[in-house]
Amino acid sequence: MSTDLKSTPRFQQPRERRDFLGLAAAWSAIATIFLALLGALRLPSPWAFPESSRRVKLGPVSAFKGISITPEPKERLWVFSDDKGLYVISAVCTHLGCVVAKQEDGSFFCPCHGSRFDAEGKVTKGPAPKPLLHLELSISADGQLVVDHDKEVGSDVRLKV
Amino acid sequence: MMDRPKTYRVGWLKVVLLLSSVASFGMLLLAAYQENFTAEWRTHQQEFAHVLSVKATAANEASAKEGASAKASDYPIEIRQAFLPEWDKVDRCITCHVGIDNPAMQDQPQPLTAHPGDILQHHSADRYGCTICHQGQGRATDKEAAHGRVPFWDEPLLTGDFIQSTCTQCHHDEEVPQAPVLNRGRQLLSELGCVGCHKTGETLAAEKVGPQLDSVGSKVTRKWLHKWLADPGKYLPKHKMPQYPLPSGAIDGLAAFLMTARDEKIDNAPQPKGDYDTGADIYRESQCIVCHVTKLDYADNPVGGHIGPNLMKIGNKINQKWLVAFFQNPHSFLPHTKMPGYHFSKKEAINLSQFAIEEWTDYDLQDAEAEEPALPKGTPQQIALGKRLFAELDCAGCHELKGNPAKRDAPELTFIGSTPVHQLTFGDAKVPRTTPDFLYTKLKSPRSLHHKFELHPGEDPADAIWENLRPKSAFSASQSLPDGAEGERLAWLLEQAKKAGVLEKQLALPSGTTAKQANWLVWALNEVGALNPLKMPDFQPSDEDTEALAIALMSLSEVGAPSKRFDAPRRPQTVFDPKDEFGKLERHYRCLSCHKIRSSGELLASDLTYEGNRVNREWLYHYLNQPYSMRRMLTIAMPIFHFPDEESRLMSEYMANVFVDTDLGAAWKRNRDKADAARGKTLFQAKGCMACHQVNGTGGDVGPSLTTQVPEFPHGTWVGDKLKGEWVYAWLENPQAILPDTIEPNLGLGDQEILDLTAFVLSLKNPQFQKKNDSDSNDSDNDNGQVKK
Amino acid sequence: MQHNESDSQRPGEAGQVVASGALRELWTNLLSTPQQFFESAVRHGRPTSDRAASQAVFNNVFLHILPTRINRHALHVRTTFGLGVITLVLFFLLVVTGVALMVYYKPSTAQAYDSMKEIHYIVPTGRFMRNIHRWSAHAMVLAVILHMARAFYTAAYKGPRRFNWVIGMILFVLTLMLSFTGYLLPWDQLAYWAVTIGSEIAESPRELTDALGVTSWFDIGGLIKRLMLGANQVGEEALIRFYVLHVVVLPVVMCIFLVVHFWRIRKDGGLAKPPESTDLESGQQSAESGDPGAAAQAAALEAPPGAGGSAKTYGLMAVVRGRTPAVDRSMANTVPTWPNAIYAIAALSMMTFFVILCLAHCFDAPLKEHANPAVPENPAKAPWYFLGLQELVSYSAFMGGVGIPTIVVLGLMLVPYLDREKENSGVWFSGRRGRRVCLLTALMTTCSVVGILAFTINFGWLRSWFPNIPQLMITLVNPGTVLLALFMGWSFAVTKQTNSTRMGALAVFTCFLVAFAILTYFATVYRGPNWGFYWSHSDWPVH
Repeated sequence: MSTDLKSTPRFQQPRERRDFLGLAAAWSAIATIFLALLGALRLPSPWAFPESSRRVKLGPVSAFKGISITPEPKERLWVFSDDKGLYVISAVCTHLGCVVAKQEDGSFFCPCHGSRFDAEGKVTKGPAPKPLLHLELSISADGQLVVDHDKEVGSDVRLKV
Repeated sequence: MMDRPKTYRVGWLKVVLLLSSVASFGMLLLAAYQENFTAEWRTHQQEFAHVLSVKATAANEASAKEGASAKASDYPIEIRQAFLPEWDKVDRCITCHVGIDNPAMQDQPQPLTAHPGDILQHHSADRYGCTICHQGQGRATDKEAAHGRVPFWDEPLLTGDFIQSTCTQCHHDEEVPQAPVLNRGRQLLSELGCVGCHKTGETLAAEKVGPQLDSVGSKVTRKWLHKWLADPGKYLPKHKMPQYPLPSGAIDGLAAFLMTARDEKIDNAPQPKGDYDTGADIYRESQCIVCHVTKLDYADNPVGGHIGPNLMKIGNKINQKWLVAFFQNPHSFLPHTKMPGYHFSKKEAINLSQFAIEEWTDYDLQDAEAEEPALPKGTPQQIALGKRLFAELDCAGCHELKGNPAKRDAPELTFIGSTPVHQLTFGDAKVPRTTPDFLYTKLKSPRSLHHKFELHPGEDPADAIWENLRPKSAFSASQSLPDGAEGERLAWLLEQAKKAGVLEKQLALPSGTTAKQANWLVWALNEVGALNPLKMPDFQPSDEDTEALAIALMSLSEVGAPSKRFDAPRRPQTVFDPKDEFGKLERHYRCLSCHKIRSSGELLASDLTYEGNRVNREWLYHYLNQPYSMRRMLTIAMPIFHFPDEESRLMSEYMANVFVDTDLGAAWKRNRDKADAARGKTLFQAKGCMACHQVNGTGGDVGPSLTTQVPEFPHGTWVGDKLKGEWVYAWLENPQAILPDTIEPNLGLGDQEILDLTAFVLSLKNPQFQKKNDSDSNDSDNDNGQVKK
Repeated sequence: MQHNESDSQRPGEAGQVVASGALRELWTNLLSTPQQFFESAVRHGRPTSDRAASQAVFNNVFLHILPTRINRHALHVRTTFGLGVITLVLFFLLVVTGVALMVYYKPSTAQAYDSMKEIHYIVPTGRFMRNIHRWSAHAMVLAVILHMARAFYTAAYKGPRRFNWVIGMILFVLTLMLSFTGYLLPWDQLAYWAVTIGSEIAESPRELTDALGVTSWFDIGGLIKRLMLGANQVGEEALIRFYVLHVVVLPVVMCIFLVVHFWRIRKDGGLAKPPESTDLESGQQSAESGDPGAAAQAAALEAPPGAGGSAKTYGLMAVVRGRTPAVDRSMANTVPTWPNAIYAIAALSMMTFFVILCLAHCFDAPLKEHANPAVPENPAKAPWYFLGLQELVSYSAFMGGVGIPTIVVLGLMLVPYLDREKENSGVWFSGRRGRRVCLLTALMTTCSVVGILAFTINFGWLRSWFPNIPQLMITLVNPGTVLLALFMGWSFAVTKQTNSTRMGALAVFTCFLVAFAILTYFATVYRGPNWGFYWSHSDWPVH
């Protein structure tokens, strides 16, 4: 045999033209499915949770002025008033979320793992990684004190009233 | 030669795949875009953010108020909601109505505008949401769905004053604050007697609103009764009794039956003949005009009160003998009336009745009626028919008549406000299918919402018509539809209708098939409302009254607050109804018909709640015997009851001791020695009191005169003789605290000024009585028996 | 790989340690990992050759239910109209959107309705998902019915495919049950009252047991109803039971039967195709023309039609090049599954998806008022596929709701065992004679159904003429049973006349299909409040 079997036409790989239509069709189908999946991934994040808003009206500002400490147990925070203004300290322990208790001397104590915080919320003892959050206060258009659970502010920030 | 294998052309499948993929891709992108960028609520919030920043720039504020320093881009665009788990509601209205609690947004159009009034201060949007009061579909996030004006949502947004119908979920007072239309509607519900036929739960009183009929045969003339039953409006333009669409035969029967309700004693009494002039004096003293229309002015307008019936034609209606009995003891005829019991003797009653009959007769009408033939007494059949009709029409719902109890079988309205809409009958009316619309239309015109009677295929026309002829008693008592040919039966029905006076005598069945005749008969009977099984009469209330009633009915709902926590604090209802002697007197003389005591009664006359603080008891005693007017321009005053001495003594002592608030004007008692009447006089002139009050003939007529002259009065009648310092002090300090609607201005006087003015006012004593009054020491030392200093 | 020790710790000239051979290997391997990973996952090359194409199908866990070569006629539109694939795609959509909805739906009477509202208004894609779910459900029922009709009319129940026909009927019933359990879940007026009616139908065997007097100790109707509802009335228990059925039990059972259904397609010789696709003359052509290899596969693929089902074992024995004897099938009529069938399935799926997307985008799935046990819907209408039954139920609850459906389902299941004529599958209506029979049957059915409906509307039925007639008489003699008897009689007559069980089968199926369509249409358009007859919706009495 002079010719190599493998070089006979039958054994040649048939020349393939790029199947543009097929590739386009296949890729557009994949893209569509991908887009559908992406869209579906948004499903578990609703536009509103079945919960109260994160910005809560605590009451008329006048009710807080001049009262040095107002506990708000339902919102898990305290409203403090000093000569510079109002500020809020959150009662949620920064370690793992338990509710801290206020001691008589003004410091805070968390019963879950023993974290201690001073009167400004700085950590003095225990596993808490951050000081207690100071939350942002503002005054609403109808004169109510509004706390935003999602916004932190520095510990020296005061709302002037 | 090799045959090529048959190939499968797959190209077209690739095209289909490509095209449908691209189309689906496009579809998904479109849906995603619409959901995330073009939703209505996003547009509104962006607009709001823009308005906020514009206002902030304009106001140039730098405070921490929301909106003051906000850039439009800082405003978070998100769904906002009031989460109300106890009510099972989540209200997302504030997603579009973002400015609802921002007073700066008052000038914006919907949906950004702020809530009107101060309602939000009492029910904040984040604690109460919106749909509790306004209804609508709180969970929705687009306008039409949220306003509930979509199929399958039964509680669309309430419009206009209908918002007041939801207050009763938490407010259980009789008078709901800031809900005047609701309060009026609830008042109307009891006044108009709806409760007589419709059960509405125990929220409304159950007194019958019409006069009792036990002695009506002795009370009115037969002719009058006929006319009244046919058309009350002819006798009384403003009448509570509705006009029932009754055939003339029915009216004859009813009148005949009612005329059998007689009182023997009255019938057998001698015909009274009194003196007109004496009667006129009694009339004037009794001040009947306060409650009744008793005369016409120069333009023929009625003059008088509208609490009792219009008396202008009473002479055409009433039997004088009955009137005599009535005057002697009104309460035995009308147990719940507001009319004072007076205590006329028989002679006084006869004289008064003579005056009434002669004065208040329409002589033209009397002459005209004299021309008409007299009405015969009712036959036994008519009387029996009347009795049946009385029961069928449930007249006992409004009128007491012994032996005829009320059925109250009209549809129960206890929870009409929360009845599902598709259980309400709208008939063919072109009325929006909502409960407020139903109630309004039904009250305004009950028949418009009812089905017209129709023959159904397959049923016998004559039977169907016979079953549905109304009123049933007028047609079917002892008769039954005869058997026979259909045409004959229809003819017989037509005769019955004519005999009962339902159809005109000249009508006749058309020729043709029995079907055609049946249809004609149905049409003719429908025209006169004889086949309409609706019993409710046409009250034809005014538009305002209809709306008020509809709102009151809307408030009768099963829907309530989820727990007592939401109940509004109830205002203390100090209903004045003492069980002592004074109470007996009050119930006889019905003081509360004109006076207010604590929260009971009316304010036609003065509020007596603090009468003990206010007036000198001697003065009061004399005033009760001899009432007079305090104002130059006003002739009407308290009726002269001619109280027996013990009664006026008891009343004045009681009021002086019981109608007292020890805190009222306490500052006067403490500081009166620091008061200076001379300074007070200067103040009196400086503050302009004489614009409304007279002193010695000079001054305005808006308020009472301070120096009223009543020559025969045995006590001083000037203000210093009458009033007590503590009350004057409290009054000058804050008039509205004592009488909320008074027009006496609160001048914001200082304490010393009030003291001085009080001293001045008290110094205004009638000089003729000075000597007498000195010994009476009518200063505030008389307070509750305190020892003089 | 040999580990060259001398390479590893050779002190270099400068005293450095040179990277050892193994470490270099490690590095090279790391670099080539992506390609290696792909090659380990996909064990065949790019499907450029027939062999690779076959392997792409054979070696793939998802695709290997398909044969590696498929008869080209199977891919023609008019063979099957792709109804099976459409049904499967819809099922898949239902499962995916169903799981998505399960994230938010809460199966408690207090929360179900509100959770539906939340899905509609505040869940991203929520409205879309729900609409896709609802319209796919309706479309799936329609597709299943059309698929069943296609299979019947192309005689695809013959031969070895008899059992698969039974499986298909079971799948049909499961589809309807899934639909039924699904529409209670929104807890709206339609849901509540439809299930109330359904539970009453479940209790309807009492019509029989009462007549026989055995209800006190054999109350099958009451038992089924209480099992369905978990109580005496539709309430919280029914909701959770239907939920469990709808999301777990029925889908799992459905999947099991689907697996069997597809497996049987392969085992029974693939899709039923018209006879020219199995032309033995064309089978003389050699497979070698242009298609190297895989000839033996074609021979082994399909069972010969009408051959009475000799079960062929299937396996890739050898790949042979060159001329092979075409034993009884021609490979020339087959095409590689990859890419042809793949494209066909993909295109069909995407088209179905697109149609459902359009429906979902434009039409919202309805949600009526919150379920209110005090306020019955009037008329309380079932969804369209049950309306025909509801019409029959209006005459007799037992017959319309239990009796006739059971008889019909069992009867249809029986057809392949009663009609065993050897015949070419894949020919629509089995030829011209069959077409005539179907046309005539359709005409007869239309007349008889319309006739009996008109009769009952104008004259009523037994109880209108004999008020004291016992219930058993009505259960046994009512428009539904009359029609049933008529159809059975007609198909026997056809069988006798044409001397062919297939013709009889065609007749009976056509009766069922046409009657179903007419009754459904009638109940949709002409039934109003109190199930009364109204010529049009505007005649309905308003209240």
